[in-house]
Formats: sequence, C-alpha cells, structure tokens
Amino acid sequence: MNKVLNSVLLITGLAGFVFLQTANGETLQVSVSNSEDGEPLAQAVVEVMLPPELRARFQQPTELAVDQVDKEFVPSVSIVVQGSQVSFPNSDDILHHVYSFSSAKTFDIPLYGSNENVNYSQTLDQPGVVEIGCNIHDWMLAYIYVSETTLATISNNQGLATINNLPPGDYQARVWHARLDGGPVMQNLRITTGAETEVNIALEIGRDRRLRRSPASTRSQYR
Amino acid sequence: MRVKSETIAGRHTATVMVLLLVVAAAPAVHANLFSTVMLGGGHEDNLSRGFASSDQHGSAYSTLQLRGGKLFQPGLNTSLTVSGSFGHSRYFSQKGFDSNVLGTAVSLEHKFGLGPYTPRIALALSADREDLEGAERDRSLYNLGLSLSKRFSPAWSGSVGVVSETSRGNSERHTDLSAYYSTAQPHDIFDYDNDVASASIEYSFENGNLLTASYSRSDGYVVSSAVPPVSHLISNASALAADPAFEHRRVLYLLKAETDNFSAGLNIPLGRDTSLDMQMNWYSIHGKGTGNYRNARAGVSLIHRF
Repeated sequence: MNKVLNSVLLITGLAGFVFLQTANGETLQVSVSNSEDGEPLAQAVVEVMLPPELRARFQQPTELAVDQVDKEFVPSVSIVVQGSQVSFPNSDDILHHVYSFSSAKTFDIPLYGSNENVNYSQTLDQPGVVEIGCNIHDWMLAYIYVSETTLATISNNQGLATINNLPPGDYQARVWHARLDGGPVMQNLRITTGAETEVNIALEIGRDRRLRRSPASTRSQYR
Repeated sequence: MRVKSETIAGRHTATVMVLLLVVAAAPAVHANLFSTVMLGGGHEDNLSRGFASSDQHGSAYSTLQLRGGKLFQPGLNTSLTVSGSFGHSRYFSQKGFDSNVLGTAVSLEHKFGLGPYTPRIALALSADREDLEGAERDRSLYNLGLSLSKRFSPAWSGSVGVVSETSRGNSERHTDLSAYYSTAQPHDIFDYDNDVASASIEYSFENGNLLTASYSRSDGYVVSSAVPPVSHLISNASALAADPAFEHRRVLYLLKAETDNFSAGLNIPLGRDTSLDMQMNWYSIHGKGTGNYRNARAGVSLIHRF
C-alpha cells in the first residue's frame, strides 16, 4: 500500500515539476566580460531575440522614470520594452534640458525644473538605444535600451545577466554596452528543457563617451 | 592712448546694455546658482617685469578666489552667466604686491544646436578692481572677449578667442621723480590697452585627467620696474611712476610690448566637483625699442564647485 502511495506521490511530483518548467520557462545566464582584461562587465544589456510568432506573449509595455538627481541621470542604463512610456522628472533644484538625437527616438524637452507641470513623458515605440543628454550639463548622459520583448536584462557588478521564462528553442542573444565600439554583438543560443543555459560573452570595450564633470581652472592672464 | 581707452570703455558700456536688454527681454528666465572656491599657490620668476636680469625679482605666492553667480537661460541654446568674485593674493618674498580683487563678469553664450559637440560662441565682459598693498599699482581692469569653442570627441576640445583689455589706474599718488628724470612724462602708469588673441586645446584622459595647452599673443603694453636711471626705458616709456614695491627705490615704466604666452596644465579630478589643478605659463615679452625679457609662472590650486 505504502509502495503504491509513494509511486503516486512521485509521479504527481514529477508531473508538477514538468508543468512548472513549462509554465515558467527556462533560465539563461550570460556572463559578460571585457575581452581585454577578462574582468566582469556591468551595465551590459542582454536580450534574447525571439521569432515574430513568439514575441506577442512578451511585449507588455511598462512605465519608466529616468530622474535627474545631483546633475546626473538616474538610472544611467535602463531597459524598456517597445511601446513603453518613459518620463524624465527633475529632482534637482535647477533646470535641465533633456534631448535625444537617437534614431530610435528623437526628442527635446527644453528647460524645466522640479515640480514644474510639464509633459516630460515620451513613448519609445522603436527598438534600439536611445541616448539622452542634458543640453546645459554636457556630462549628463544616459542610455535607454528599447527591447523587442521583455526578455532582456542588465548585467550586474559580477557581469551576470539572468533571463527567466524562456521557451525552449534556438535563438540569438543580442548584447549591447554603452562602451561597445561597434554595434551590438550577436550570439547563438540553444535553450533546452530542464537545464539552465550558461553563455560567456567577451566584449571589445572602447572609451567611455561620458565627459568629465570635475571643474577645470580658468585661464590665467598676464597682468 | 586716452582716446583709445575711452572708445573701448564706450564699447564695454554698449555691451553691458545689450546683455541687460537680453535679460530684460526674457520674462520667463530661470536661474541656476553656482559657486566655486579656489585655493592655490605657486611661484613667479619675474614679478617685477624687469628687462635687465638685475631688475628681475620673483616670489612665491598664495591665492584664494571665491566666485559665485547665476546661470540664466533666456532662450533655447543660449545662456547668460552673471558672476561676482573676490580674490586675495599674497606674495611672500616681495612687498607691495599683496592684493584684494573684486570682480564682476557677465557672459552670453550661444550653442549652435544641441549636445556637447555643438560649436558655441561666447561674448564675455568682466570688470575687476585691484587694490594692492603698493597703492600706486591700484587699478581697474576691463575685459571684453569673444570666443569660439568646439568639442571634437570625448577626449578633444579646442577654442579660439580674442580679448580687448583696458586697464585704468586708480591711484592719485604720484611721487616726484625729478631726482632721476628731468622729463615730464605722464604718471598714469596703469592706463593702457591690450589686444589679445588666443587658441587652446584640451585632451581629457579616460580617467578624467585633463591636459591643456594654449598660446596667446598680446599686443599692447607692459609695466616694467627697474632701478633708475635707464636711458632706453625712459626714452620709450609712455608714462612713469615711482614703484612702491621692492626694497630699493625703483621706477615703473609703461612700455609698448608684444607678449607671447605658452601655457600647459594638468587637472586631476579628486571627486565629481573637486579637482587639483597644475598650471605652467611661459611668457616671452618683446619690448618695442626696449629689448626682451622672459617670465614664468607655476601654480597649483585646489578647486571645488558647490
């Protein structure tokens, strides 16, 4: 009797595990590093590119706020799925002038302060990277990665980017970093049922495009 | 010389009026406050601006400068900066040069578009009142400058500019120089004009260290100090005055000259709003009919922006 009960419990448990795996999908862990020194690379964006027929399930637009605090954009790198709304509040007690030249979204929100009733929201409806700046404080720079689906994330300080909920199949991962010299790097993937997929990607990193902020001296004059 | 000074002073007045009109015509102007403090020190080789080596005296110095102001945005891509400053300098080896300087400045800048790589043009006007320990050197200094700057990349940027400088002496003290010279030259030793053209380039390393190099050429006058009598200086001087500085009795000569100034600097960030600045300036002065002399000034300063 006990043997029968144990068998039933085991089969039920296995069935439940398989069901959960199917419902929650598989896990991808990408380790991103700097190809020059092998050090982990934070703030890299990893997106799993899905075929068109699978995208609809992972395309829920969200809302994001990129704040301006102490003359810096916060956060400096963020991800939204295409169609999301991004607002640019100003928490400083001075004016900012937010703009983007990027082909993914071009806009210009001139001269507004904190608590000013201005419409500073933008809908980012095209995938790509939106680079934003402040026309008054040239060192202010932030990137918004507009993904095709919600299957995208940012690497942490250990260079690890983890994406859950992946349907099994063969895909490509697109990896982008603000300091990449060329365009995003593509990497083939095979997501298999019941196993975590681990991928290592090394990026060729160029110079940081952020301008220095520290004060410089004024020219001395001969008197 | 007086006529030229008055012409330039008139231009300065007109510029101030234009800038004030710009502010007045922008009712929705917003302002951002800023302030900086700079504490530094260094050494200058030829503080006396002496032509002969026996007339050249240097000194170490310390300096403190406070500056505060407001940044206005009267329109898109246009900013107006109004600031006031106070500076104190102390020279350790020489007497008569310690100074307090009160200054005001206004600068109108226009960017030809958005972003850090857009060229920009700036019109700047400043007025400083310099009160020195040796009162004969007291003066007011007015600068009217036009500059064009451009950033080429995150590393490289450059600028060119011209400045019209007007100096006006404020001292009414005139020591009798008949013991040295029989000629009756004017005593307005610090009344002169200089025209300056400059070019500079900057390279910013990825770690934030900033290298700067600049060159400027000034056409106008210098005030040189020498132990009298010096016949070729007296014959070329536009004005004479007793020099209150230095231990020996000396005379100040206002002389026509051209000045080449090469400078190099390294600025090291110590934080987001603090930096350590090192500057070296080399001056080569070509007097008209009076020969040449050189000067060098090296300084280190700590700058913090609030």
